[in-house]
Amino acid sequence: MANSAFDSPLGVNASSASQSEQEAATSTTTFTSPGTQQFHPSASKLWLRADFGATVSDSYNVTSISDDGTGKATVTIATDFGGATYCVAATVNTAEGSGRWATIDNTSPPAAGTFEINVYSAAGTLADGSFMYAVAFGAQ
Amino acid sequence: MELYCIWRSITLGDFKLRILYTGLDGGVLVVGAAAKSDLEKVLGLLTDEGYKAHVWERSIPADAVGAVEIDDAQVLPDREFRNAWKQSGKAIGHDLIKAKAIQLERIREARSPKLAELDREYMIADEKGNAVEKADVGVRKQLLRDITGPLKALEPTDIQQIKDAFPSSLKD
Repeated sequence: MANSAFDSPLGVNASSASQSEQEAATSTTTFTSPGTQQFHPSASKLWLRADFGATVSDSYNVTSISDDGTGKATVTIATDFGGATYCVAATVNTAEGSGRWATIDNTSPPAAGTFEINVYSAAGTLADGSFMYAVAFGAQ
Repeated sequence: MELYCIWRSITLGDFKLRILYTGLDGGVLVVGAAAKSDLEKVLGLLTDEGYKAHVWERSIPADAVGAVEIDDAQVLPDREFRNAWKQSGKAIGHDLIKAKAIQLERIREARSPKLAELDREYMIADEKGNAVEKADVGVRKQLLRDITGPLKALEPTDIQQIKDAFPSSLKD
């Protein structure tokens, strides 16, 4: 179901893509509009920057982040994914010389509406950093 | 448009709801919400009540203990003993038993490479048949083994005593 129509380089009465057209990602006769572009499979459905004290400095489609303890955080998504097999990546920054890496916790694996980030020191123990970042892709 | 901007500025547009609660394992969790204005990009315009209801419903589990909204500006304790935090209403203190256990483990971790180095020195002395050096290494190893003693004996009444109990000889 196409949205508003008007004359465009795509042809007379070209229309903006609906959510389902964005999700199908096959149309070459509709155009993308700001209100539906995020439904395309290639678009990020969520992104986040937060510190380790659960302060979200910037985000999209994130309800909250929970500081669960040293090096542990849970992200709650505002609009769920369609399942739990979406792709999520996380990273961390910290002071120079204090190595950290972020992982997506698999002892409590991602659910449609949440995922957990664990951050480890070079010694392999849970540790805080300065900021954590996450981005996720998949069908909602 | 001007009126809309004024209205937005006096509602919760940039406010970030913050909630504190205790989990079933006794750990303290701090939930920080995204700003209402950021959530509205996904959920559409929200009333202040709608924003708070969304955050509570999505973020706070049914089995949360003592869940309470705290001021966004509330200063939380430093994170040195984060896993020993203990909730008391809207305040956060420390479980001193947990904090003591954490500090003991940190001392053991810091001691471990020093003991390994002394083991190496002992073997070299042994290969050389140097009984004096072996005895000296033995004394130094015993000092390291005993280094947790003062903290083990401590009955702390505040977190600073536990912080201060980390031996200076292990700080390098």
